[in-house]
Amino acid sequence: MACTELPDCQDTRYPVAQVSFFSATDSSALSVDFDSVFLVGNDIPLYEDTVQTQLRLRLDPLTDQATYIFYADSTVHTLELTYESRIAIENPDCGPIQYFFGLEPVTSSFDSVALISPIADLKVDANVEVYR
Amino acid sequence: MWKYIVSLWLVLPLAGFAQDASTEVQDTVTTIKRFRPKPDFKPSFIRFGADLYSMGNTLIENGERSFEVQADMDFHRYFLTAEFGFQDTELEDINFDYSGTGTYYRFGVDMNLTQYNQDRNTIYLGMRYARSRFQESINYDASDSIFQNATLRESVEGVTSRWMEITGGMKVRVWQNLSVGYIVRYKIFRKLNNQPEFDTYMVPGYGLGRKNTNFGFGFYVNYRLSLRYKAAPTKPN
Repeated sequence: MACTELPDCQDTRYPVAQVSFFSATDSSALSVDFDSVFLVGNDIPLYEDTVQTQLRLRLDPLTDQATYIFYADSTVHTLELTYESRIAIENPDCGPIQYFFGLEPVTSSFDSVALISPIADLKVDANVEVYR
Repeated sequence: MWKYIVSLWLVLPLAGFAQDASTEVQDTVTTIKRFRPKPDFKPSFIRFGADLYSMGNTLIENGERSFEVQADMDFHRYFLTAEFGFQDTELEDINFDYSGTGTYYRFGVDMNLTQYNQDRNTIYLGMRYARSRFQESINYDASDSIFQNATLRESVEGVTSRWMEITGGMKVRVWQNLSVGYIVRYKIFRKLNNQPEFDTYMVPGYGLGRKNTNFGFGFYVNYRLSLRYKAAPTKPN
């Protein structure tokens, strides 16, 4: 029976950075009305016409750096992240995963940003907190 | 005066008894020593073997090829053992292909727990030091709705690993100089010189690279080449 069981392919190490938004005045969670969110060098929007307090921003699998442009409430902001990545085969039946770590916000046009966790994993509540 | 004579009369027989007892004990010790086999560390044979289990895996497991040979030599009740093998692993699926290939060697000592067996069947416990050198490559299509052409290609050579093994097994003579036997290995203290691009998947001779400890199994057929005549030691009475 054990031989026929399907492998557990649940892996929480998604290739995304979780960015949470907070008010710069009172540090409360902030719902932001985003017109769109783009990754520089990629024409496909990550988000469009959405109201969110947290975004999951896809990390670029081919580089160790990603810059995001946020169009929201008639303003434009940018956030640049650097990181490292590795490929691992945990289970051949599930295929490889590319996991990201060493996340770090390096530049930003927001009021301030704070690194919460450098590991791209859905188990963590947020990777970066943005105050605007 | 009488006091001394009485004392002497009481003590002398005891002294004699003590002397008798001492002689008796010494005789017993001499007797035991006489039957204890004298260690003979001069090698009397060299034994060559091949692992049928890894050969079977090559035939049965898709994408797995491995081969392992072994040689050991006796020193009294100990066997100095050396093993050499290669392993080739290939994986392929819709979005990736992986290949890893390399060689490994182990050497160590087994202790014969059944040295008085007249058929030279052995049950043994031992230890090994092992090293592996290998190369790996992977092509992984990480494309999704955002990145529609993201193929990652990584290839590394000269990756090394070392570990220790606690071994146990048995060898049974089946015909003249031929014997068969199995070995169970508990692999510990793995040290992996990991490459920066991706996590090692398979370490030849060790198994899955992500595991800190591993179990292994082998089933050997061995040929014993005699170097000199040596009678199997007799068990002391």
